[in-house]
Amino acid sequence: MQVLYQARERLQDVSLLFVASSTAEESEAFFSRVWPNAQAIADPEKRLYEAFGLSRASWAQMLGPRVVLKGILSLFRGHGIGHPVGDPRVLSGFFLLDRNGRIVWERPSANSADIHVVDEIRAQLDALSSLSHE
Amino acid sequence: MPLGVGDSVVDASLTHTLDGYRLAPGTLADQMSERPTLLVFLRHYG
Repeated sequence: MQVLYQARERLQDVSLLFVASSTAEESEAFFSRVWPNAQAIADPEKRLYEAFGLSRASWAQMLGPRVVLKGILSLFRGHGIGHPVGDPRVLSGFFLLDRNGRIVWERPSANSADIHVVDEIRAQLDALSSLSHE
Repeated sequence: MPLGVGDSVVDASLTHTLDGYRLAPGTLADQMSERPTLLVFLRHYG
């Protein structure tokens, strides 16, 4: 989410809608502190995660070499490991919806550390924008 | 089958009322706006 926050200027023409497996109270406590203008769906029952095929990561996806390496690098950069809020076994993922709610692009994460897709999202938004101007 | 490219969240059976932070009242379809929407599923935060 930090990557998206840093790239928010580049993503001004899209409504970001976060989905978290935490409760509404936990979502409010978190987002009001770190990203007050965000919108976030609380999905503790994981209905949306289920609908989008992201409900459960395998142990290999959670603890694969790439994920462990990223965790170690994060520790070296001074980021500690906090107490996770929500179900850490769900998968992350990105789904771009057009104005009618149709999914035009998706990037369900291959593993839980694979979130560096801002350039790809920007390219998809530009493609959508050029389509709507034709 | 999970939802994927080409599917519409308006047509999908996602009719439950959402709860969360700064949402419009209603379902996922009710959150759509004049702009495209990027759904960002988080693993967790903390």
